Amino acid sequence: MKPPSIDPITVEVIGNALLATAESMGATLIKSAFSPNIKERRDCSTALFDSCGVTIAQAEHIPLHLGSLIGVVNTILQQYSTEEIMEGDVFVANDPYVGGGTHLPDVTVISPFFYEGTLTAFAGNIAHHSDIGGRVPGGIAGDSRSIYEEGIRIPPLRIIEKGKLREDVLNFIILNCHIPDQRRLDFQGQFATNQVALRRLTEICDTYGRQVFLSSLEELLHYGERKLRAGVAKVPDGEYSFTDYLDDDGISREKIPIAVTVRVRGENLEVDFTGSGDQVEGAVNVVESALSATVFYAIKAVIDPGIPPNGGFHRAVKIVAPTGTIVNPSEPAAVGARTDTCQHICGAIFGAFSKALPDTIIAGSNDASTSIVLSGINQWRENRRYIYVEALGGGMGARPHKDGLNGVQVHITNTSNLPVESLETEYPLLVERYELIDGSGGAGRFRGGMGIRRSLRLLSREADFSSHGDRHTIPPWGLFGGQEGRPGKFILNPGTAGERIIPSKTSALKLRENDLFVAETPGGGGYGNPSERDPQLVLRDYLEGRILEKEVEAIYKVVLNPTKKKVDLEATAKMRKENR
Amino acid sequence: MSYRLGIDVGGTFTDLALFDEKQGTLNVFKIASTLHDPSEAILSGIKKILKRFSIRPRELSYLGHGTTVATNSVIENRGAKTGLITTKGFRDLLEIARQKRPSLYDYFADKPPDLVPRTLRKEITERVSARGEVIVQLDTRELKKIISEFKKNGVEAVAVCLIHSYLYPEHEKKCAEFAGTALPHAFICASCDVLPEFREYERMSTTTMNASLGPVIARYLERFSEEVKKMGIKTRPYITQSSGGIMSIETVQKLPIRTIFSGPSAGVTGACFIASKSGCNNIITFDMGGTSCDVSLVKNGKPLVSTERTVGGHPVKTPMIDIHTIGAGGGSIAWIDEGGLCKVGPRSAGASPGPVAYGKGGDDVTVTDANLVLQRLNPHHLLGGDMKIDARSAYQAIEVKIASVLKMDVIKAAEGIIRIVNANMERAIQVVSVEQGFDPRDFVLMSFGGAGPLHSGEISKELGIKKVLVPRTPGNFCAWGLLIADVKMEFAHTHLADAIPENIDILHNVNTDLETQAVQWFEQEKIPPDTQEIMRFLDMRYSGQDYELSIPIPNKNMDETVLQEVIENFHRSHKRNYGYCIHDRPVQAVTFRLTAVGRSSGNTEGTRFPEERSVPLKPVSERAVYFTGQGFLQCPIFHRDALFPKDRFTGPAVVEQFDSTVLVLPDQEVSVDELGNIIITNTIAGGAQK
Repeated sequence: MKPPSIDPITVEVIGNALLATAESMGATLIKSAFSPNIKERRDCSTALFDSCGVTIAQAEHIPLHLGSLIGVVNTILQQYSTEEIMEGDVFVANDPYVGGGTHLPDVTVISPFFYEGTLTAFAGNIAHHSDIGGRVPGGIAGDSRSIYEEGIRIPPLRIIEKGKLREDVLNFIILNCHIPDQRRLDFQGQFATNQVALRRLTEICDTYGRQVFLSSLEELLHYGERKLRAGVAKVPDGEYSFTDYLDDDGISREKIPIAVTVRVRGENLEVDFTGSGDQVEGAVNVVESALSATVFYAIKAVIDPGIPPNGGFHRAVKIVAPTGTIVNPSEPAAVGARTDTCQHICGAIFGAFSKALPDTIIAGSNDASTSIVLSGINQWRENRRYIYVEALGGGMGARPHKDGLNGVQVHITNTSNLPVESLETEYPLLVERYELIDGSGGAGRFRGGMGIRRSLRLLSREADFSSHGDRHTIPPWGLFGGQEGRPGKFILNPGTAGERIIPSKTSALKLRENDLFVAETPGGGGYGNPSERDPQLVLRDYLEGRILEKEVEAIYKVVLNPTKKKVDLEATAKMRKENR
Repeated sequence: MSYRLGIDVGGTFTDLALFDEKQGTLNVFKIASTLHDPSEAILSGIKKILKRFSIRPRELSYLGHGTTVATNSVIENRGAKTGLITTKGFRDLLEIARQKRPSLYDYFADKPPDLVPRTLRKEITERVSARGEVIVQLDTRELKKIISEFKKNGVEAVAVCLIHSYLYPEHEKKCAEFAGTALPHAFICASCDVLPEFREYERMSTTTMNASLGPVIARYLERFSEEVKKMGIKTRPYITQSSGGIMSIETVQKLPIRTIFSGPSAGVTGACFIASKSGCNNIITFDMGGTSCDVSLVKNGKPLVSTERTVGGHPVKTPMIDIHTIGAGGGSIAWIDEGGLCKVGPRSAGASPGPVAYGKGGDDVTVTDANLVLQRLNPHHLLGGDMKIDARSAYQAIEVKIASVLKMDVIKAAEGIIRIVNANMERAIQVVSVEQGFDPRDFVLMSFGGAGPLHSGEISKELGIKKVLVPRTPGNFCAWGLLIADVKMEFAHTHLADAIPENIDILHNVNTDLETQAVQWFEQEKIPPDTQEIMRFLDMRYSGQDYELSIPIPNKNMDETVLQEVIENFHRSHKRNYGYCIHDRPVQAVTFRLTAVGRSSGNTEGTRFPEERSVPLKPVSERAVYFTGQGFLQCPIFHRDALFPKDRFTGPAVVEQFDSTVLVLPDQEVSVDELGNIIITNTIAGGAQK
């Protein structure tokens, strides 16, 4: 390892300034974007890169987005020589196969940063556009069969040339979308965001000079790498394998293995996906950039959340993923619903590490990205076309020493919900329930987090429905004797003659006026044997309705006294002894 | 009847400021805070200050009090036992929140504790649509059952928050009324009274927190006013609120949530006052104390305001000065992380054990220790000689804990600690300026708090800010700010309507409703007509957008011309905030806001100066002080009390005073203005620290 060429104080100051820049880009993007998906649900990210495309700072938004951000800078550098990249240029891309993206709705905008006439860094942001054209509005239907169904494919394009917007290029892109005017406004926000970064980077270089700036970047990367290696060194050497399964690919009903082997040797780490299923016909394939972002997230979370989110630690992780598999598919495999697979990849990596670090790993989480898209015409809004996108959280797996969190986004996503009052004002929908599902957390010494139920009634004549999700048939796994969480479920018109279960990955479903659609997301798996759970916690969960009455004795081996307000300690001890 | 008294309770000290309206003299006083019961220190402070200046209690014409009772009770999870009534299907809203997990990578991080346990979150059958129509009637039989369960469980407070109640408050009102009758001793509040605005989770969180604070604040204030009365003080006490004004105890008892971010707000009020007197209307306030640093931006004499922030992990929407707080202060601890980089804060050594040099058992290196090693602080004593200092132990601690680990010289390490904490605070200043579309170089930095004036010189230079203003009592500034605060109340109402001439009547009516509420409030607070003032705002957005910008609207009847003007202002504001505007897109009116103000009669500039100085300006001593890039330079040390208007000198220099220390860099010039404020001017442009 190279000795630091610059004092650690300056490195810390510049490192903080870079993180602050990325964070304020994020604030700008949320403020200046137009559509609810970016502003309210915050489905967007920002980052900075050095002139070779290595990440130097990433704002804390959506970990998966890092994939596109890294990928796009790299493809720009492959496609354009540094002489061709000019000050004032801005590039745009979204294609997972030639544009570094991970799925089409995530559109990345990258600006080169020039200091004193020299290419010095890149600033980038990514926003999930609620619509990017394609067969089904939203572009994320789980049952698409090829990338061509999913929307417009944008290879790296120069959309602003030396400060001048290429209207023809922008018009071409938005013409291919279902609601062009909103896209234009969101793009404007994305362009404004990078401007903020360029200003701040100039100020930093003005203060420290280009050379100190560059040396600091190098040292920050070393620092990231050192921190990761120090963390890996604490993991016992060995090979740890785990296989998780996706329910299906939305086309066939076969489960798909996600197999991972983690190899730890000293301070070296390899994550190998050999044994994972072949690429599939449905939209759950994960391209290389998405796989890397997912692995980086999982490793940082498991090894040390304090590792700075930069390329230094990335280079210390070796990833192996055979071509033609679901984790490294060939064109034109559909990828719109890749989030579900990415969540499983995290789950599998966590599962593998549970064998090495049993005391720091959580049980299987909701591990899906339950997403629904409704689109149609809103009669209360001048008959405008609308596209409503929502990704629902679920239960987090139970943690060593603690229950899992209820109703949260896990792993590689962290989007907000759309407020009920905002949603009902904008779209012809009525939310009848938005609640945690009783009894959905996997039983255990520590209980898995509870899943979410969201019930939507359609108030307009009709709407197109599409979705993706997973863990509707294979539930989230428990750890060390903990039980499985409750799987997710989509139900149309429950309790009526027309009641119907809707598959997790669906499109081309027409909802009619007054239809009630209910999404139930998976609960997390439990940790440890339920009959070892503190009886008082079992009582609390029972009184609060978090677990079902039948679970109390049958699973937790707790006996309540006749009033059901107290634990019968004696009877409980006896029952637990008999069951040991 | 001619004394005004301001009392501000901080984590370490309870500060008092007493102004003699006849003589025009200001006196400040500090007493150690009593954290278990803040009123103890307050009451003994009042007694002491009255005794010291031989003032009879009834001579106090004004009593202003800044309190953090509400804030602390939320942070320490000590709110009252609260029950929640909400629309069927939504009892878990408080718990699901915005469904984000608290930390992206650290899955051991927890959500904040539930404001109301699930067993006390009750659903009632009723529903109002997004257009304000009742779809499902309120089931009053269920209400009876809910209330009797609350009774059985010993609930002390009830919050009512129903979906779309800002459009149709009747169901909420019925629930609140019923609960009030059935539970006469409980504190009851409905979201339509606390926050009649859309977005259910934030409204529910705010309303619930208001409820859980109700009984706590009532107990505190009842005792406080009783004790004050017993002392013979005749004037009614006023309490600070988050938006910078003060309000009567009666109002606070109804809306305790309005005090939740009031801690640093009186300082900003004071800063606005000084700024306007000194002729600089655009300032950034920089308030650095022992554990935290609060910054805010004042544009055209008015602080930027904000409506949402979190406390203890829960969002609260309430009118507030937009103050950005970070964990950086004199007590912030410097440490080396596993990767070998030096970090400062957010953990603080606080008042106890305090910095190493205080010799009270602290062994963590703090910012104060670094300032002592660089001899920027008096290396022998602080607080005007009241506190002895052991600078040697600070030196040793930095050597062992920081310098030897980083393989650096001790002085360089101390300098590094200052640079890191400064960089953190510069970032905070950028958050309130650059991120809001303002260039900090267009502002004057108003520096106060015990540690502010020690750091503001370098920070101003780094940010390219030309002028720094240090008021006369920087360490007691919040207590002083209380003396000049206005009585204030904010009203708001969400009513979604397109901003088009056809809707003039609707817009006019909502506006008039708010005005009626304000007039009632003026009467109730007995505010003299000549001090009354009203300001109106309208939160607007482009159709299809779901975030609003608050636009000031003129104080006249809404007509087409006014509406056109307001829309134009919206476009302009959108352009400034977000970088673009869309002239051809329809604009919507969302939330109407009105601020009613009773202007303060306080004329409290500080002790007047005698006409002529009796002795010429002379330093009290000299010492070597470390400056970045220049090493130790021999510096004159001035005493603040000896400074006089029109005095001028050039850095390097140090000004010491009872409650603070002012550091002047080598290329900075100092002048003292008519009011006794120190004005520091940067003569060389920023970017010194390469």
